[in-house]
Amino acid sequence: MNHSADPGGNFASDVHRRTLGHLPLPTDDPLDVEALVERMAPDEPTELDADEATEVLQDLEADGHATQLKDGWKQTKAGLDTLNAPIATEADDGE
Amino acid sequence: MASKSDYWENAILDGAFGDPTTPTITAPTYLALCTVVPTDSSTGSTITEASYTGYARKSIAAADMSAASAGSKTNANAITFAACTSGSSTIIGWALCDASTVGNILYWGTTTSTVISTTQTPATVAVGGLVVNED
Repeated sequence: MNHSADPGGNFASDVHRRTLGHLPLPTDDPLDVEALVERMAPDEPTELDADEATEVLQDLEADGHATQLKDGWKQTKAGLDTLNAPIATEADDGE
Repeated sequence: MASKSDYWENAILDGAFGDPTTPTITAPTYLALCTVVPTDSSTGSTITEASYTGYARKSIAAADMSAASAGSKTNANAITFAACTSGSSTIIGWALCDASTVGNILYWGTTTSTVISTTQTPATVAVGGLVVNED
């Protein structure tokens, strides 16, 4: 997959940010891949099939941003914090 | 895209049958910028909003919106948020709320990923940029 860059510079791509942004919060019940794809379908910048979504989720899991549970996927606390973090260039400047 | 919240779906259903407890919305409503996409079950206290310094929900007067037509309603005036004075946020969603803080969500949707920081002009929704559709 070739995705556009994350404008905030915090994620591997914009699709990674948006996929994580659609996942349930760390305190909410997880969502399975099929339900996630259905939820993201109207979100035009994030057009993924189930296999592509799984690949993005695995990337997010590897980075500690998402976690897979028995019933599906959800954000980790670190993932939520990163969604809310300042843009990477600003963070790199020590702000 | 725009979706109705569970709260607003139920309010409309109750209102359709004349339930006297149906909530009414008094302008202004408030537009929230979100770093996590809301859901139908989100409320004004559970959405994840921008965290940059200077951020606040932006009030929308009734006159800021066009009259609904063909199941669609959009902003007739630009909606400009207060400037970011420090920090930054990457916005991917929005929520229309009935209060300036907390409150209930009426509609929610996604937006193209947009960075709000001190180097940008204040977050602005151009005329026609906020579109709420009904089937």
